Amino acid sequence: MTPRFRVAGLEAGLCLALVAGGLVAGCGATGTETAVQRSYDRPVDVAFGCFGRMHKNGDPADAENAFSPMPLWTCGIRGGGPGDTASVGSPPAPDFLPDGQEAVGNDSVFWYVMAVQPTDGTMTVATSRVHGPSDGDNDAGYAAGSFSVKDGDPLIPGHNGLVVGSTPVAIATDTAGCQILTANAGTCDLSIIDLTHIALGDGEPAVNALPITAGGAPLAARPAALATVDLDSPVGEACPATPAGLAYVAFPECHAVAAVDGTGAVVASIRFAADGTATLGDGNLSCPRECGAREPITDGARPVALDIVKDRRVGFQKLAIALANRPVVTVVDLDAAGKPAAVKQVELDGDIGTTDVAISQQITMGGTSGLNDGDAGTDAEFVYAVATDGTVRVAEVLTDDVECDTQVDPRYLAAERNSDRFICLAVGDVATPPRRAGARGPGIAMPGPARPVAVAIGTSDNRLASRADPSPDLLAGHFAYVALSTGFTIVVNIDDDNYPDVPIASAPLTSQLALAMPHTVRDSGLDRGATNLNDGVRVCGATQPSTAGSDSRIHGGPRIDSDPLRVIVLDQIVEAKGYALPYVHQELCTGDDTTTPVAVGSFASSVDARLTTFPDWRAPAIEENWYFTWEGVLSQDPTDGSATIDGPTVRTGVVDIAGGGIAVRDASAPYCAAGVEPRDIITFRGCDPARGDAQCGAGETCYVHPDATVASGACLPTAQLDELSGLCRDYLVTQRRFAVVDAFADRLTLRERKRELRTTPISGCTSTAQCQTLAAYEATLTSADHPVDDTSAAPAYTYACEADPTRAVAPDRCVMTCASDDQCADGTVCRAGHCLEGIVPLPACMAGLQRYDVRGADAFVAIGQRTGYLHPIVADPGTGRCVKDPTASRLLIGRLPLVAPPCTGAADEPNPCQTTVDQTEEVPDYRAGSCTLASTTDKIVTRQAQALKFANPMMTIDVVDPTYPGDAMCRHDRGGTLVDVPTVFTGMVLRFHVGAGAGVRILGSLVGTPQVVQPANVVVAPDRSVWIVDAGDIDDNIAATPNLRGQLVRAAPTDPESTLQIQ
Amino acid sequence: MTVTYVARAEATLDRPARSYPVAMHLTRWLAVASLLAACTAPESEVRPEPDTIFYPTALTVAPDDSVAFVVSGNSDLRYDSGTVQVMDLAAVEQAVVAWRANRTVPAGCAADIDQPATLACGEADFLIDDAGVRVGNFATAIAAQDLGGGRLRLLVPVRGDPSLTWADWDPATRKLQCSTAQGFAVCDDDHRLVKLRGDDDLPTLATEPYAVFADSLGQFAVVSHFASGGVVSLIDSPRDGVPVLADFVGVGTSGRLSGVAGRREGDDDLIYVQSRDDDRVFLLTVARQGDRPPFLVSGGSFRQNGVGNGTGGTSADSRGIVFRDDGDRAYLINRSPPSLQEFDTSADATGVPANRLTASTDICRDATAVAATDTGLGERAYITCYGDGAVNVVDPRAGGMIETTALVGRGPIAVAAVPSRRMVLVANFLDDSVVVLDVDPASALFNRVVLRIGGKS
Repeated sequence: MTPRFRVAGLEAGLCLALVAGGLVAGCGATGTETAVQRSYDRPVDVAFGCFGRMHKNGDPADAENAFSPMPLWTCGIRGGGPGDTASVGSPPAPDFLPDGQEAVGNDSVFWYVMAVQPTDGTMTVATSRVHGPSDGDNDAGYAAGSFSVKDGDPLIPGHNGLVVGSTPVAIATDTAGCQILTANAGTCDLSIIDLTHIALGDGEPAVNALPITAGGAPLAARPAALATVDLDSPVGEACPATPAGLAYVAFPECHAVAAVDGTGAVVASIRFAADGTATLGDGNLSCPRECGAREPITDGARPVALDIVKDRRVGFQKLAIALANRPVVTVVDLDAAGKPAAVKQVELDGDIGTTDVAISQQITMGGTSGLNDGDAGTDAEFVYAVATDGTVRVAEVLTDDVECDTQVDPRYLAAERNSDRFICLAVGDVATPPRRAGARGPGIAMPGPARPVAVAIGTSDNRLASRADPSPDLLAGHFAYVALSTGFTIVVNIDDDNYPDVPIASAPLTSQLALAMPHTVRDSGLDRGATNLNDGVRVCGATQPSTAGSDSRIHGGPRIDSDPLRVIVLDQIVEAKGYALPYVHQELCTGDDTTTPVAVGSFASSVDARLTTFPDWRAPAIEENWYFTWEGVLSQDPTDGSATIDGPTVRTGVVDIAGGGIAVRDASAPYCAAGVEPRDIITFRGCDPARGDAQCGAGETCYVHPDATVASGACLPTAQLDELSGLCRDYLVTQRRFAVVDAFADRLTLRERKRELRTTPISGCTSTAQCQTLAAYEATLTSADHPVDDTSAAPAYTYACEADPTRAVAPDRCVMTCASDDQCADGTVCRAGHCLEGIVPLPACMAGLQRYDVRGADAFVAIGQRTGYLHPIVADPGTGRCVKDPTASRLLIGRLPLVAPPCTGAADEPNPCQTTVDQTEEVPDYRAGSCTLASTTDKIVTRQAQALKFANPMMTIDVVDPTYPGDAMCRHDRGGTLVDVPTVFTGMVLRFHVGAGAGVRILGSLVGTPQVVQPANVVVAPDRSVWIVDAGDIDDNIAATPNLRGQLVRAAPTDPESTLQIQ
Repeated sequence: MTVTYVARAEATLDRPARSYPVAMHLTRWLAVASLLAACTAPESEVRPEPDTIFYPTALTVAPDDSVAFVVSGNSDLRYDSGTVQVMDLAAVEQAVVAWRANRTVPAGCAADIDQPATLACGEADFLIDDAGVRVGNFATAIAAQDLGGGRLRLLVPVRGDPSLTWADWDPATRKLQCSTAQGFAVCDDDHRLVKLRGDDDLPTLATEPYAVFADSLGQFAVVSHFASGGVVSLIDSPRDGVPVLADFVGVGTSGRLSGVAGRREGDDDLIYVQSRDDDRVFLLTVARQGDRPPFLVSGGSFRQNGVGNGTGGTSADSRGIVFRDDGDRAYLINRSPPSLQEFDTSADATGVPANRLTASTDICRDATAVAATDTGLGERAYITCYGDGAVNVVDPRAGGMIETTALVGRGPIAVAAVPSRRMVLVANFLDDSVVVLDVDPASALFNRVVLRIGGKS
């Protein structure tokens, strides 16, 4: 590639404009930059050719003069791929050279890689000598520069493609390997490209049009896909004059797939009825004319993608067809000549279509010793289809002819040890367990917002060394490669012949069911089996595998990878009494380095604990912080917009005040999506006076009432400040907190909220006297003194034990009472004997846009930094009211109240539920009868503790000590007699980080991202390499965006990090 | 020659010319030249021709497909103003049908030498006499608000003022009105919204008004601003009253905003706003409260992160958005990566739009606008490709694919469908033309340009 210099386009354009205006200005000195030669222009499909020296008829005497195209399998063998007749599970030849061709070295044989580009109707050709195992270690693989791009027109600067037709949309190689065919949507025909002319450049016309005819008449239908059959084609024979074998061409608007011979004649067809039902037909196909004078088309099933597989081991060849607008995949058995012999179909779940398809060979499922097809075991065959619902659908088409549910929750299969059960869990079968919470359907879900674009199926035999732990980088078995709209190409395990097929009791961390099951996105984590026990030494300290090490890989299994934290507010509880707050369940780790309590689910916890905490290893995000916030905000999107997960922390809306009622509304209808429930807390945030009037509208002032003690400012019309400061005074000085009475998608009706005592027993108060006692206890929480020394002042406020309709229906609560405002806490005002956290003001006080947040009431709100807030709330279709979805998974929860039903141990036990656990913790080691420490080292105790078991799709954790009994004499002696008394306060956070969650094996992700922009296709080559066709981006020389007009990326499944870019 | 250009530039509307960068640079050069020459031309010489399209930047079609409104930007400041002109679509269709059926060439037209399928005509036979009005320079977009009874209100962001200029269309008189003057008049100050709520003490319209969406049922319009700060302006436009610049907000990005559209017209319409620099699409609603002017309420945002560059998908340089299926689907076009993205915008179980990517199509590298219509073969999206001089016709089914690419002229910048007449109109900025794409699937010229109106010779 020769660097060139050029003036940036914008600068050049400006100069031209000025010149055009008669103003010749200095346009020099614009700087120069290196232009990179781009060879592609939005390719969409790729095909391969094998060309080079060969022995005709296996006669070594012909070797010197015989340069010829060869069947693809010959280059495949040389590259380490399967051969023509060998089992895919074993090398085709000991020397990786075709029989009779052993004297021809790989350096005399070349790959031709041809990509079609519909935009300009061209084909770009890249070539490289074949590299393979017979070359020895130093030359066996490809390196940057191995492939060079041929120039289709040396007389035009740059690398030019060869013009092949109008809008070529697909390309394939005939079975002899001599002719390349393109399907041209612009002219409704095929083009034939002679590989010999391409390779030798001998000046002969290389491209010929091949009209498609049916019954002797031109078909004139627009093709959408093309696939060629693979007949037995020995090496060493001369090329035929016309393409050998048959090509299958999909015609969407004809609702048919045609089998076309080398003359362009349709010799057979597969026709689709309006409902998608397929029948085999003859060659007398009739289609509406789409090129030239058009004819009307009819609605119907539209075949848009094809794939052909030849299984040399079993001896069959099959064609798979995707219908864009019907939920069905079609499989056609081909006879020895490649003609359709029989057809069957598998219905897919839901109102979907499929846009790409791949069909596997017949696979012997299971096994852990590398490719084992043909060994003892159960055989299966699969069709993978890119579906319009954004998933990849899987159907078993050998024996069951059913769609497989790839989203079954492994929790329900934990005890299953028959791996055959996992081959295909049939959709709709009563024996198929429920899906994962939140699964969109039975198809393989793609990571993040990505959509699958294309799929291909291939094999690899990079088998695992004996007794080694499985590695995501060692692929042995059958895999699907799925190109995503985001540019990545991921690996899906169809049959991983390195990984255990069922959980192994002795090695549970390296035999995770979620990773073992077929049709699973391949994990990328390393050392998943790592524990804190190595070579007989158990470590309980902080040492653990890196979750983001220097190799940018995750190591070890999912775990809580740092000590959970309680985040407190000092005016609510002093740090020295933080022990009174709920915490994460801990167990004792007895190690060779130290003995210490560790969080259940941490690396140092027992394997059983880790497995219990993370029962589905495909569920946890690769890493994320989890926040359990008491009465926390239901959304967590940062205000800077850096993430959009579950809605903004601070919302804006309009407040309606009429008839003493108050409601907030938002026409974007966010409330059910946010998971708002009755009794939740709305806090109107007003404005921050430190930001001036920036948070207010034009003509408004951020006003802070002089009487306010806790409230922020409020945006009031500047012209009415004097008037409104008085009229709105009582509202402005409160915390402006209200309780949700009723929640609708677009409206929340609110009521004034009473101030309550946070230490009100969760089982309810019994008397005013009890409330006063608990108020006194609450006051001691902000004193670091031991109880025996505590001189905290008596509470200044009075409480009554009564029902509070703005909170849970029962039991009674300690409600702050008053006769006047000065008897109420800061931020509250006295109304009807109760201290209110907000009052309904005059409408003028809340005119215009209002900022507010929504908090869950009386519960920890569980939010994952990446996952967001999970909840089962939906909008009632009839009323719009926010209700719990009765069909929602029990795992779809995001609230943890302090009271829950008892755990039952059943699969459908309440969630959350209450249980008892052994809690290990460090406590002060006091001298008997005093609060003097006997040792500066805390002692470790294990006690029975109340716990709340909380399960979501990612994890199951126990939060212990929802209440605290109080201390008798010293801090943390737990000698108090309080019953069911909580100490949590609004905003208290229990935080922990989960690391080493589910990874996704991406081809070439680690060795310099290939920066695929828009993959158009993914194709498996005869040597098993995977080729990603990238339509590219705009070549705009902007550093922040890829500057590609398209490229091909080659990945070797035996080394998923080894990618090669041809640009 | 240069002097004449200067005179025309100075004779533009009385608001100060402003921050369109290239234009400002050019104006400065021209101003210097004018000082040297000290010569101006009379207004009559710099007044735009009423039957000429010059640097068209936008067009829209009346809901009844009777007329199209074409905005000329006067981007070379040849004249003293830009224009909004009215194209008679019945006349256009008549010419197309006759040409298609019999190759009839009306007077003043000729078969295009380079494109035999195209009939090339001057503007005069298709622009309604005295129907248009003059607006400021560098108008960027146009939206039509349906006032009922065939009456329309056109809203035009004008970068040169900057203003939101409006004019009412009366189907009875077949004229646009934006002042008391008659005959291709300049829109007066009352029809150029510059001050918030018309109050001199409140801020003026933000700079670089770019795209506009009008909600006929909700009786408002929303304008995006292509300037840093991410500002959106709200126009309160009562059906029987006078439009007012009612509110503006920053949507939460420092980037420039581009395309804007409403999901489903009405009081609860959800407005989608794209950005040039940010991969988020910002959502807004319009709130009304008592007698107060309406105001904008943030509805959050979502990311266009499903199509991308191998680093997780970050679509940027968004250039247009159009809703279909009563707001349940949307097409968005981006330049980086170049893609037409289809989103499911139907309400999910919680009542909010899913805003989920359902398909994406690799398109031309410099898309400028998108429209969609059902031709009878199913829906197609039409994307103008500025650099290629083409329109990509995308079949959104099967994940989306380009069905054909039609060459339309230089610098296609705006597109609008005329469903009942099976036509798609394309404005070509660089060759001063509007072309008609035949989208009748029964036509032998399907998806080809059959008529070019105007154009540099």
